[in-house]
Amino acid sequence: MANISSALNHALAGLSVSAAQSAVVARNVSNAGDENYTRKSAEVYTMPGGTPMVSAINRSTDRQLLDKLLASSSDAAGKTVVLDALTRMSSLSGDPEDNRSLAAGLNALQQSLRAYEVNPASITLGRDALESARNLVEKLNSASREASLIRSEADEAMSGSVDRINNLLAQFKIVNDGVVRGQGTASELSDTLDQRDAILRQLSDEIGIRTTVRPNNDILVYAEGGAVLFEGSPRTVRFSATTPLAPGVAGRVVLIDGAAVTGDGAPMPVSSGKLAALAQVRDRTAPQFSTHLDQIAAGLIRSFAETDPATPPSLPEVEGLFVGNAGTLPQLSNPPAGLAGQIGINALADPQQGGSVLLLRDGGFGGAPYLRNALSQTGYQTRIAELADSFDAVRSFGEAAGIGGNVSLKSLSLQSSAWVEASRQAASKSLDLAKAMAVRAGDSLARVTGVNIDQEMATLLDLEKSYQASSKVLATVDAMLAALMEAVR
Amino acid sequence: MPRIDSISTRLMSQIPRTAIAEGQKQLAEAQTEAATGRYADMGMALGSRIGATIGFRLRLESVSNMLNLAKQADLRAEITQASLSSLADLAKGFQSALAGARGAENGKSLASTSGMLSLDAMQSTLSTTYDGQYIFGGLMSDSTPLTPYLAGPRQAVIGAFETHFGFPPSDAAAAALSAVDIEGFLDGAFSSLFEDTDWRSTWSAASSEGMQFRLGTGPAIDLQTTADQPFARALAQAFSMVEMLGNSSIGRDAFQAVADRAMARISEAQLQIGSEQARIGAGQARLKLASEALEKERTDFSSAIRSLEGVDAYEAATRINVLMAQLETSYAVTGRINRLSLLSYI
Repeated sequence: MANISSALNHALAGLSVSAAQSAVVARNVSNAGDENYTRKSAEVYTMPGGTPMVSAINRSTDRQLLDKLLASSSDAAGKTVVLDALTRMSSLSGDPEDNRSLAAGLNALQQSLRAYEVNPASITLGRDALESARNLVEKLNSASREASLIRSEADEAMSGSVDRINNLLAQFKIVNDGVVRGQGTASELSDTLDQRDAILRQLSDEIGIRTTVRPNNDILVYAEGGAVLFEGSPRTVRFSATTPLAPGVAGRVVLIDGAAVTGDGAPMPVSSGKLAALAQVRDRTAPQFSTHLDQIAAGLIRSFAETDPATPPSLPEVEGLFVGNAGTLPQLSNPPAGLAGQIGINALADPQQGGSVLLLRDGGFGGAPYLRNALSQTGYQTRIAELADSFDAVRSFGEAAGIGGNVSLKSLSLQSSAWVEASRQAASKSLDLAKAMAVRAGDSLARVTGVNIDQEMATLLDLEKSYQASSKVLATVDAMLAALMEAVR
Repeated sequence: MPRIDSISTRLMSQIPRTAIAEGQKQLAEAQTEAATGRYADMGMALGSRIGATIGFRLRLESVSNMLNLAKQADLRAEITQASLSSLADLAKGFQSALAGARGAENGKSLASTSGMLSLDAMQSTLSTTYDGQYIFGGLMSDSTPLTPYLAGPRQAVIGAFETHFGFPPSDAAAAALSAVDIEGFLDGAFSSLFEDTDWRSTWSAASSEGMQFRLGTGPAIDLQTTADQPFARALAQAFSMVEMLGNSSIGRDAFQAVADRAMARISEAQLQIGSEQARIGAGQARLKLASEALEKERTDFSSAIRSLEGVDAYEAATRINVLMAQLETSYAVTGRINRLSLLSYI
């Protein structure tokens, strides 16, 4: 049996529901700019007897869209890393117009040798050729340094990424525990859930993840490939950077719970996210580029090497204008790692080191038996012509580094440029694609989770109306009670 | 209250912002492309074809270098030709001087003087240099191609006479020598002075082979001759026999035999000079053909580079217009979206 006091109760409940709902609106509005914030709504429940109350705070979210976003953003994060590395390699040569490529360096040396060939008596032209050779060596050295820097920086960054993953997993544990235990008020819990999703989003930048939600709202996090990252408690991700990471030395692999997730033959390989991309740069992209440089260096050393002019030759082939570090002639298909960083000008031909440019014309880097211009003719052209032609001579470079085959030294360097730019173009295209996917997933998710201030304002107007109405009911009941009191008195 | 599918306010203000950032990036690229006529990021635009364009650029550079070298080689060949022509003139002048002197009273000493002068002239012509190098030196481009007559060859010539006849040319006994005697000497001991061994030790340091000129990896083009070639030996032989024997005590008949021999040598030399000039001329013609082919290549490479690297400037300009219109719209939309709020109306 309804009575006047139940009207008062209902009005009071209405006031408090309106207040709670406006609090939610206020929270929505104040967090409208936070991308991790999901729109909250107060669930109003009418109790038996008709009194309304706020029973729960709902989050607008969509697990599937979130998973899609996580996957596409790890993809994009990883591809960005690869593209950055390739862009650094590409900027070594710059625009073709700038003539800064290795191929241009080789060509410059060949052209100065051609000029020297026409006038072998000219010391100036000999020095020109030597300076071209020096520039080429510097180019090779600095490209090799850059490649090895890209590699060791990737190694360092892997270590940073692993630290971050471990940190995020530790934070995840705290937040997830809170969710599982259902601590705090409804509104606090919904904030914790937001926080947990935010951690997953950060985590997905570093490493590709898959999640499974368990009945008590517990989340299981797997790395892509199947390694468990979090199940009730975080699993340790282990990695230590190698310092210094010398060329040719393999970096360490990343272990999740003891199982390798990077490197060849990893049982549960991770393929997206920064960590996987850094490992790819360190283990594949940068070493491949380094090998190109080493092959070019080996090709140069070989092209300028001297053979015993006697017939039949009895002495071994020796290094000529270009020297590696080891003093032995490198293999073209499998040069020592880091050769491009060590190649130098033979001191015997370098006036700055007390040598003589004439060795370029006359031969004899290996000592008197290797001397070609035995009559000391100032017009001796044969050796210079051989050297100039050697850039176009076809050699067998093997195909280990994705380029090569039976080509000339010049073609090899062009192939290397083409390899870098083709990889960069492909990386950029797939990054654009991944970014578009991530943006689309983000947009779709934001449509579900985001706050529309206009909508909140409209809701607020509604609330204002019902608050006013409830107040009016209160005032009316008050007046009615007052009238009753008046009558009773 | 059922949720109406709505867009979040953050997203709404973000979308035009990302569109603006992207548009500005593209605009900057389009501006560069319109200004230079080339792709702004060549590697990104061409991908693996960058190898081709770098290759073309290198070929272009090689071709320019080769053309430059060919020009120098041609100039050098021209100088060689001019020197050979002046040697031919020298031979002709000597020929007529000798013809006049042959029958003249004081012909002997006139001819001798003319021989001496011709030797001097020949020596200086063969010492022509280009770029600091003796053109006629062959591979020995740093040593005088022909030793000055008075610095050795003259003694050798006189020595040969003495060895053959047992007395110096100035000896009165020489007057008794017959034409046959002299011819025997000239064809024997004297002419062997101009064979390889004596010639190279006494007369000339030049190498037998000339320097080669190659256009790139192509075959060598013959553009040079050296002081080791028969024409130089024949000339030196003719000049020096007249100089030495004209200055000796030999009789008139004997001297006429000398003059006849010298005439024969000179004619040989003239033929040889002619054939050297023809050979070098043929080389120059080949060089010219090759250079023309290179010029053609240069044009081809340039256009290949343009077609690989170039963007249509009109297209880029149109793109700029479109992008600018887009950006302006984005700006307007951003402004209006920011003003679009229910708050303004309640």
